[in-house]
Amino acid sequence: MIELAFVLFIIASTVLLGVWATNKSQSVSDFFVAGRSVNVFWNASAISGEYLSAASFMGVAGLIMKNGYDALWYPVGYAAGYLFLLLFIAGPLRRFGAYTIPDFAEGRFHSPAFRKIAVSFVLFIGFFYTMPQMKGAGTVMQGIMGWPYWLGIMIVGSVITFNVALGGMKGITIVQAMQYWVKVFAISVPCFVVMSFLGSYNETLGKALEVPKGVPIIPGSVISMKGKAGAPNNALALSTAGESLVKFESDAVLTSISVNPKPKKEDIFDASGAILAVGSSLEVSSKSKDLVVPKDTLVRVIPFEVTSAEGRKSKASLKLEFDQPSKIRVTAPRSQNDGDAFAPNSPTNEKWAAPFGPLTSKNGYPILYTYSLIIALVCGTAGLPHILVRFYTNPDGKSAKRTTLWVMVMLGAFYVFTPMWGSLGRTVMPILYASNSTDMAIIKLPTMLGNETLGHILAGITSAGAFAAFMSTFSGLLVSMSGAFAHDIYGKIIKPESSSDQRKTAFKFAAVGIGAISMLLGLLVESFDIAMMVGWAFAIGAASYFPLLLLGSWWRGLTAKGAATGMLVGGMASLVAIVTTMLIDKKYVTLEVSPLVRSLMEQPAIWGVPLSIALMVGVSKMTAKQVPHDVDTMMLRLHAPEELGHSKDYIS
Amino acid sequence: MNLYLPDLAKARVGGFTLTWLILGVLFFPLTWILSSWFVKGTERIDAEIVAEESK
Repeated sequence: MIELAFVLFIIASTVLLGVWATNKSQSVSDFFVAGRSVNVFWNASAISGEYLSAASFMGVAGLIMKNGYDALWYPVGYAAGYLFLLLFIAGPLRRFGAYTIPDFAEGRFHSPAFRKIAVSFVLFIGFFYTMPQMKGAGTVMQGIMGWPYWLGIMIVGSVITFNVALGGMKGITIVQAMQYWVKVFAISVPCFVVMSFLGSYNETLGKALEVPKGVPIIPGSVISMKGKAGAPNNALALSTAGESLVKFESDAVLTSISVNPKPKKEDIFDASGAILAVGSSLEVSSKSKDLVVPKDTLVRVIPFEVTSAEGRKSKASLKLEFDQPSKIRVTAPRSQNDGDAFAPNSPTNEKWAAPFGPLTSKNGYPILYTYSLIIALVCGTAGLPHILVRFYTNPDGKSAKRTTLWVMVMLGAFYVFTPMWGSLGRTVMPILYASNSTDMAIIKLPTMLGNETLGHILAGITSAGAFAAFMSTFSGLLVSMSGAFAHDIYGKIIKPESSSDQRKTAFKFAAVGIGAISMLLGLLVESFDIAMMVGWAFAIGAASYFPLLLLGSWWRGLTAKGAATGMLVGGMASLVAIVTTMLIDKKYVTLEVSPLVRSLMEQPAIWGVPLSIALMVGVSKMTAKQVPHDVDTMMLRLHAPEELGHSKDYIS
Repeated sequence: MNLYLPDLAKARVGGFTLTWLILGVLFFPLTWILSSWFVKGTERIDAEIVAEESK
């Protein structure tokens, strides 16, 4: 109940603040770019507020808890991406003086056709990015209030759509700025309180590392497993550290039982005694498929030794995949830890805290995976249209750079807390590993304090922070997508002679329409991982917008054809690779690919970005005659300081 | 560093492994220093250009 009060408070204050700011927003320019008059500090707060999404607030801490050191690259990459943006793109982009990225695309090359391609990517990346926000809203309300999944989505979706349709960019700038401070408060203060009860950052990390082969211990409470719809998060990978007893508290169907970690062809092992039913006649083996397990069955799982072709010995155990949502308990024989079991699905301490752990080495190419992830995060940040559009709200290029500097400080101050939550989660609440819900760490952790009221208050604060995250990111996306529609599609393509008031009306209609579509899409993605979905948006942005902006502002020889080819092919190829991986994970398609190809498909940035840049350069060389004739003027506009008077605003 | 100096990376600093401390904590202030240095630098260059042009 306390949690709900906090969430309702943040929703209500968002609406009120939005309405208040709207009354101050009058002109068309106000509507699209907040009158270009937002000062550096507030604009930086608003950019940070917009950037820190559900993935940053909940997903990153969850990933660090689940995968340890490797996942540290997420907060680092998100922050470093901004550094890239500052170094290469922020100043020139603002000086160019266009409203939206498609404006830049058309203005730089005098090519209306290129605008259409650029607009389609705004909508593309935008929708990919809204889906995880919606999913976050749905699951948090499910987690803290037990509401149905769609209700959280409807609430967040309609509140934000209302705000955006009413106030445009200016209406949300102040709201997003406030929400940045809500999020920083919500991630830092509860973290300090939790640490004061349960041990500080380095203490928990040190404790987590004491026994290299150790795994956190979980109490034998009831665990809810997700069914097939939650794949690949419907598995219970039992620990290799010791024996586990799995008690089925409800009827269950196991789609498959398999050896984990997945053995290579040459490995020698004997899994015949690895699993047996205790006190029932159930026939179960390490290769069972579609096994019906009645309620109250007790199953014993015993780790066994695997010898590789080179003679290295390691431990393996079994992985149970659930078909339907089911309830189980995991315990251990009395002889071991007083019956408490080793947490399933958890890597050992040593693997968790060291580089090239479970996340990056799952396909056998840890270095490749790590670098590809870094490229996707760093270049992807510089390719997110809803972030880029924010630079136009600065009065000039100089303040655009200063804003980015402030954003770096604000983002760093936020992200430094995410690994703290991740490591606290590992030591304090390892039961989240078993149910594959490490995403909820930041919401659920405060309840472990042992002080119920304080726990609920802190959980309320973190839930409110999570809601601030969904709402601010979704409103930013909605503004940039509706802006693209009203300004680029309606104003430049459908009805070029439309008056500015007509465009304002088009913006409002577009906001309502796109808001509704986003809510529908949100309902479809209940079973996907938040961080995974955000990864898609980043990879597509990295292979499409980033090369366009980088080369567009720094290389004279770029032609419209070159830029369009690189953007389309690079972006589309990455998209196809990612969607295919996801379909394989979900078992909609079966496709056996080699581990190398699989790594490259899952993290396409390492080939997608160079491919896109190479195509841009190659095709531009071939069409060198079509380099815009006024490229020197363009470069002056992009790079010369405003005081010299080369810049011009498209619409002032 | 993790590739070439695995032992150094594993060294402990007050409960942290060194590599965790660098990536998870110290990295953020480093980006602040880099970006402020860059912003100051470009602003100085811009001012010089403006001064030169307006002569």
